[in-house]
Amino acid sequence: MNIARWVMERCGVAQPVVGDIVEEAVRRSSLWHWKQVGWAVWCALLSDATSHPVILIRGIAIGWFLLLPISQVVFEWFWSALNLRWILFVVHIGLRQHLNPLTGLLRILLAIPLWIAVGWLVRRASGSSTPAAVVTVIGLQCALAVPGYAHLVFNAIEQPRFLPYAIVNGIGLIVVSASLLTGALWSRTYATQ
Amino acid sequence: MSREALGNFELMVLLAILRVGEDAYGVPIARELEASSGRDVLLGSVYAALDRLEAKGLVSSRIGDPTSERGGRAKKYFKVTAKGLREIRETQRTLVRLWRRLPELQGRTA
Repeated sequence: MNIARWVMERCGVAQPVVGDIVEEAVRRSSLWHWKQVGWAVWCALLSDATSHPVILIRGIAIGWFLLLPISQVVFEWFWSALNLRWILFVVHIGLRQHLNPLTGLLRILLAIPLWIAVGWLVRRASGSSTPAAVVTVIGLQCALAVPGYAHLVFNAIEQPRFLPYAIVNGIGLIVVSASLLTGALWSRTYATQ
Repeated sequence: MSREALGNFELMVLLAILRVGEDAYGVPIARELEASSGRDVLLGSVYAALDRLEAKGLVSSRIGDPTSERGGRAKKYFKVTAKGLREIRETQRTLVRLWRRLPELQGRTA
């Protein structure tokens, strides 16, 4: 219940709507509760996106054209300092044959704080009461990743040795999206009526 | 038609506010809609419709006092305005005119 309230407040759902859902949830099922929460969040995001398109576009532009490329550059710089030590470590512990998938996983894990920071900054910079801009950036990122990921999945079906790559890429997409969203939800909460 | 058309759900929400009366906030409005339609109603949709109706000047709202059972959040009470009442009557007249002499809707075959 508290998680639902937190999510609604961080997503800019109006206070009377949150209050109504909290009041009614006592006599309803948890399925009803989460359905109401999901729909209230969707309505808040949609309403914000349609009523403040300039703010939305500004948020997407900041995220897509500024923060995502910068974070990639920063990450690659950081990774170049770590790469050789990591390879030596993997060889040392005897997992040389699994180096590529393990490297993919490590890169995903190391990038989590960066993605969270990007989500946080995009929401702050867009100045919006909801994380609509970040959700749109995530949607765009996922849409653009679909063709490449579908190719990986088809490869994995044809040749099972590519399966770890498909799994790591899938995990990567989920982790990136979740990290961006976490950053956005973590960002400042605006009082709404 | 010069005025903006009233959607089906918006009309239902306006009628539910009138039926609930003075205590018309999200929960009783949604309960009234559920009782009338026999379907689950999403509070987010009710508030989205109420926002549109308020923007059209068909309902007015006031914020009540925060209560503990709502986690300290205030209720938002709604009332149909005079313009809203006129709009409901006009929509009713239009629907009744369209309804008349339709054998398909009176249980007869066409």
